[in-house]
Amino acid sequence: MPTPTTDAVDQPRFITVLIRVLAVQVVAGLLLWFLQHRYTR
Amino acid sequence: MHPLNWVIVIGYLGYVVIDGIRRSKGTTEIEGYFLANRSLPWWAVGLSVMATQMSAVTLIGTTGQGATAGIGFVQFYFGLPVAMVILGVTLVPFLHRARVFTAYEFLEKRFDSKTRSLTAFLFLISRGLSCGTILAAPAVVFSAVFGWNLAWSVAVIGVPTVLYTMIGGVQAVTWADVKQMFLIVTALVLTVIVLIHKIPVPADDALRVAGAVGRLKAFDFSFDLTKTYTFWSGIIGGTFLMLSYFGTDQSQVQRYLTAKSVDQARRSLLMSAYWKIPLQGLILLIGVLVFVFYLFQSPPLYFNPAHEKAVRAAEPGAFAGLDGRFVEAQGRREAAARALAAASRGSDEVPRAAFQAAEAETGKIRTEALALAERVTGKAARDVNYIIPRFVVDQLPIGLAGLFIAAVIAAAMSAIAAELNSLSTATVIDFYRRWIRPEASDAHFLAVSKAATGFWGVFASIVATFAATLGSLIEVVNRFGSFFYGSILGVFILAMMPRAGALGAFVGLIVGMATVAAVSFGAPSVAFLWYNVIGAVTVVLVGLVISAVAPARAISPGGR
Repeated sequence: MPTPTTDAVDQPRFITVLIRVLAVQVVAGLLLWFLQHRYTR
Repeated sequence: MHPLNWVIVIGYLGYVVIDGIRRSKGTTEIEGYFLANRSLPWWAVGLSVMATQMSAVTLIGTTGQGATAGIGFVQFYFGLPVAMVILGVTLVPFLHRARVFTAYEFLEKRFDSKTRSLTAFLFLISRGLSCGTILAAPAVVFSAVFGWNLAWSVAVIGVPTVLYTMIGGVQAVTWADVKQMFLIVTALVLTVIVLIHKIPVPADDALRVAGAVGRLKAFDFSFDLTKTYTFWSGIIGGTFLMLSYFGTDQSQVQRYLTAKSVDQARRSLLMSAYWKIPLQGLILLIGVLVFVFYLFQSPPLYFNPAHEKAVRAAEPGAFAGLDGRFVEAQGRREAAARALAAASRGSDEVPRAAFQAAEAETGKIRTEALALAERVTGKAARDVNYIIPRFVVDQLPIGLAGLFIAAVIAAAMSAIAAELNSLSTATVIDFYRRWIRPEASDAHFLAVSKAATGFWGVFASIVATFAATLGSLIEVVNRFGSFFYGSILGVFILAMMPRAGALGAFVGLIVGMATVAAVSFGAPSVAFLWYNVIGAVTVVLVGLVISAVAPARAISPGGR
């Protein structure tokens, strides 16, 4: 059975992917925010 | 509906079944039947993961929710990208390298057989019943819209799905999912284009009109545990829910266990991390645009034709009165919407208020009409799931209407097929091979696996056929399911902690489920997304405390 090693939890790669995914979500979030801010009063 | 639309629907159904059966060639052992010999590319697995999560309810109910409540439901998915990244570096490599068939098999290797059997059993019960409800949702709508018998509607969706899943196994499921995702996205994009073309005001003004009545409010930052969809319930509760769904639910775990490698499995999950929120936004936007469309084009008083028929027959006078008031109110609402669209931005306060009042007036008449339908039919009357089907049948051009109906069926089939496939896997691997026949030939297990798929298909169809009359029971089932979803995640988190032992995991699971049940009954106003957080955290805390008190029972992750 694999153990939780640094190989399984590859931290630099994890952080890179996390940043990339979050960046895309922030862009999507800003788009939704723009929709809400521009059209909802 | 025009015959050409039916040709498209029937052609699609035939193609999926024939292609699925064609893919069964060469599948002679269960590793191929259940896991495609761990050979599939990341993009096919990624599309299959997305198709599995998307059911007919997504196309019918979520769009309807966009039309009636706006795009706030998108917050439900805010935790998904984070969950996918966390799973990519934690559970995915664990499960993939453990060379297991099911997520629960991993729990026996890590803890013991009773934890494995209990989690697998909970999965079978909840997924078996949910498979029935997933099948029932579009079948009930099709029955009302096309006037079909419910059993016939269930058969149209269920029979082809059971056939290709039973004969072709996971290969048929995955490659059908790929085609189904392309079909669904094509139908959605074309529908947006048609809607923009059909709405008589420019897109910017259309969105302004929708925004005036809150349809474009995506974020709710209030930290209120009783509100179902807020930014915080989505980010925190949603992350736990998605971790549980994608990390511990066999219907999803089995998708990425078919990937060629750990890296390919991770990439398949990241596809959802990138695309799920934009796709869900597109689906909700269709609902918003349908709402705007019906501001300028008279909508029916009842979107559900069965309600209209029943009320017309039982209360013709009341129906005529309500319909007359509705037509007048709709006329005023249309004029107000046009005035708002024509007003210049910044000086539209007066037309905006007039439109909001007109919208409230039509809403009030519709509420009265639904209450009347409820009295006449004796059943809860909600229109939300019928808005899009009615729009598709009445308003989409010939061809596209057929394509959209095929897409709804595709969405239902993709979710049901993956669930049947995983139910069969858990039945055979976690129970039949584990407890009844540990030693038998692959040919024997393959035959039993196909029979198990067929059994669950029949079970789901029976549940679906009775689902319409089991409304409150279905709610009980869903509530029961939410009791243990977060708790099972807690067990898997414990599995990755070297200090956690078998006794701690098992007792933690029981205490976690009991705690969520206590919260559910003791404080029913707490929104269900928070159950996942409560369950997972309780299991981990109880599991660690018991493992510390009874360390002799603790087994290291590499110990078995």
